[in-house]
Amino acid sequence: MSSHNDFLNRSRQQLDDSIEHLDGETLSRLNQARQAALASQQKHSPFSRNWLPASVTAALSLAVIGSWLLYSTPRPDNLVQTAQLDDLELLSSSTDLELLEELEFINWLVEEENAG
Amino acid sequence: MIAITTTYTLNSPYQLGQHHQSSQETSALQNQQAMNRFLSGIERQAFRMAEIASGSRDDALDLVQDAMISLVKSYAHKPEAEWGPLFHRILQSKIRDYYRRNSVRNKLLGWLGFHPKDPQEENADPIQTAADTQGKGPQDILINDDSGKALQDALKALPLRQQQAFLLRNWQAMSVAETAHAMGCSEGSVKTHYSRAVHQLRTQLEEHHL
Repeated sequence: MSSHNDFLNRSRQQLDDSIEHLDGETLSRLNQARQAALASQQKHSPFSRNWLPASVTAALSLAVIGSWLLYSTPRPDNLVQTAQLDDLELLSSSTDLELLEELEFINWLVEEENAG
Repeated sequence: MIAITTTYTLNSPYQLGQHHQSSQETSALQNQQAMNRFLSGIERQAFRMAEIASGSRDDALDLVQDAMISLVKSYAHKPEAEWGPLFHRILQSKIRDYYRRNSVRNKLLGWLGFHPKDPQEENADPIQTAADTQGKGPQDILINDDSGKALQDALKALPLRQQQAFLLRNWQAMSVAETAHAMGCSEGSVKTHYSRAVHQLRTQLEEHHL
């Protein structure tokens, strides 16, 4: 177990040592990489800060136009409601129903005669 | 009078806006400084891990830079304590992508009749890789200034997952759960890869220096 831990500790130490003596060019390029990454953060932040009001305005405009379009055109619900009201008028008129029943009866009589 | 002026200053929407913007800028600057410290503290280890994985200094530097940029762009707003695990996850992911790309490229080149060299062999210094005719064994190599090279060579020879598990668990002192998160696999896989890596490395190196 001790040998196992010694091995792990020594390996860790060797890896630590290996990065203590990196050559100048590698260190320079690592520094450049870090600066490039930080510069991307600088570019990223002002972009989002400048475009935030524009994005909010665009979203609000879209919402307003969408609402206007939605409420200015007749919705299918209204059409269905109108049709239901028409049916109600027909149903509430008893004379019309009687007439319809008579018409059906007359049709039946005609059919019977033709068959006979 | 001073109290009135102060109240006016704090209640002015314009000045409140300015104060808010100023504090935002200060916060952004502090965040950037913290990120700079974090990256400068981790860049060498990241480079070494990427170099062991890729076998190429240039590719390793590209991998580290890509990982840094991804971290900064996507996770700079996260708490500083989360940057380490996130950075390692990004780096390991980029290393896996690098392996996949290279694997596909090598297959294509193989079909076309080319036989690409192993990047480790391609970039290796012929003097460093030449056989030692003086009988200088690994033990001697390990105790001099270049003692880490034998370990690095042995690490490079490991399968990628074992290599990652060993470096993250042993060198970065990450827990099994953190390593699994960084490697994008289960904790059981981490234990298996790590155990095999340690066994393999000890077999190759222990008799010489421990």
